[in-house]
Amino acid sequence: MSPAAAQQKKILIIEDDKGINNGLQIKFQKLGFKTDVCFDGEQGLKKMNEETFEGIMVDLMMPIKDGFEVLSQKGGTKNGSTPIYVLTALGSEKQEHARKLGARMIFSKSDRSAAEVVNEIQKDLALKA
Amino acid sequence: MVNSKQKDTAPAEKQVNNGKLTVTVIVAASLIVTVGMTYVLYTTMQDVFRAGIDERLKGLAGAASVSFSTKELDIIGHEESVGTPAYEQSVIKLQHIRLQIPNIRFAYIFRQTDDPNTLEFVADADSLHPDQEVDLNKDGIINDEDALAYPGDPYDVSEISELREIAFKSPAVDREFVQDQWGITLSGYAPIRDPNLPEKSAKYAIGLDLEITQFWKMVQRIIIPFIGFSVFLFLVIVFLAFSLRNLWKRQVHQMAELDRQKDELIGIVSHQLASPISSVQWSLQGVLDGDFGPISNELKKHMELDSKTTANLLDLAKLLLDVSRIELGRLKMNKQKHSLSEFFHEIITVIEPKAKEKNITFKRSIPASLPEGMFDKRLTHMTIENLLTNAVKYTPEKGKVELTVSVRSSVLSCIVKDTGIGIPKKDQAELFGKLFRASNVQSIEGNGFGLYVAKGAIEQQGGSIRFESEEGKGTAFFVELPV
Repeated sequence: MSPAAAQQKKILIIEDDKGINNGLQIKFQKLGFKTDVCFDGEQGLKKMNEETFEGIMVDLMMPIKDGFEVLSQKGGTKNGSTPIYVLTALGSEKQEHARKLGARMIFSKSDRSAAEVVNEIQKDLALKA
Repeated sequence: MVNSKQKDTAPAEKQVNNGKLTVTVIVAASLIVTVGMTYVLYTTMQDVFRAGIDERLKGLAGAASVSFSTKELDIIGHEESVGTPAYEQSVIKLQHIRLQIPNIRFAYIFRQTDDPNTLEFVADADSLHPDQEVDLNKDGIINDEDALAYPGDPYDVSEISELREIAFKSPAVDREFVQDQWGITLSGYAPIRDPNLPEKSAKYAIGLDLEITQFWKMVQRIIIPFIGFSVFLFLVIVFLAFSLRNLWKRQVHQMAELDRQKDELIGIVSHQLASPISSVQWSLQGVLDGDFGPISNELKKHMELDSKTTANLLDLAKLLLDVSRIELGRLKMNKQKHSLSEFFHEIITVIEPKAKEKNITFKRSIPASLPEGMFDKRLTHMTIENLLTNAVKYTPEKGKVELTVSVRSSVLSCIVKDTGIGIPKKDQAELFGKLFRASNVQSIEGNGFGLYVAKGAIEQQGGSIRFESEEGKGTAFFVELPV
């Protein structure tokens, strides 16, 4: 996919770790995506109510509302069918729970690099398109 | 080994069972010792009392013997002497002796004959008129048992060695008691010497039968306090043993609980560490990727080192997390379909540069096409990479490391073989233990968690891991995993 084709695609990043949030933002932008960011689940759901995104990247452990709540409440937003990509440091038990709640892909922060994660999401979105 | 709570409690239970065995052994031993001691103490007491009564009886017989002279006895002791004044005088003397000393039932005098096994009666306290019919044993019937001893009657002593061998030389006492319906008697003897021939063996001996029924019953009753004391002693030992066991049991459970809390803590701490470390790692990688603008080569080199250190730190935190999960039986599998070819390609990419750096030949025999398999990629990757990293780490330069892979009937078989320093025989049994490091690798860096986690990761997936090794020659690890 060329950067131009991705240009139309907007990704929402919901991640409370500012470093990771910023890093992902830059990686997505480099691939030509538009990004919107927020730092907790509540803000994320608010944005999901306002706008439809091509993909949503969400962390599981976050203040106010966590990633599980984002996953279980996405049906009531404008993003009911948007693929949600989970990024987490939690173990496989929690990951399994997230998968059941409809996470499309799950990435472990400690096992994957930012570049890997962003590339896989890009591939997945291209397939979907 | 890791998939249930069994793992947590098994060592504790084993320890408690050991305690149970110890208690049983203590109780059994104390039972034997107390019973044995009671018996020994009681028989010793009996012997002491017996010795006392023997001495008394010897003294009585000795004292009685001086009332008679050989001269007066020489003229009696035949059937014809019955009724003679000399005979009657001797019998009356015996009756006096019997009257004066309490508890004497019979008093009599013997004479030696040419046959050492046969003695002859000379006189008896009951035989003043030996033809009289009396109920001697007072059983209400007059029969042969009541027959009075007649002077000159033979007496067979072939089985009474005290009488045969000692009584004519010095005072003696029968070894055995005589027990009949009226009680227990003990016979004592003393020689009646010729004052002119004091050195010579006497021709006559006096015999006294002492009734000791009451005395002996009293001696036997001593066993009661002895048994009481032994039972008390035994109960005290049993009580102490059980208290000890309970204390031991509590201690073991407390230790197991502490161990569990420790594992929990390690889990929490390493999880809390892993998050920020990954965050830093991601940022460093972003900088290296040029996400935040171009960086100088010098800075890049420096940051690559930082990134490597951070990656090691992250690996350690993850390893600790796995250790705590295995310990707590919480290592969860995430089995998914993966391409085995890709899986091994990724591992080889990591190992190859490490082998090259040490000038080690890294030989691979992997089938050109491998099927897809269901397995936990992270744990399996970690295990195989760990085995290969170890192989490279513990193989000297110019050595050889070999990876052989095959899949047969849905079982992945993976052999990692090296020409390294090997594992000493004495360390082999503990090799998969937590924090264990072989005695010949102390100078090489390592944390002793790798193989512990490897075993847990493979066994949790239903596979097996084992090794063969010879110190100084090399090691081969065999992993089998259903995929």
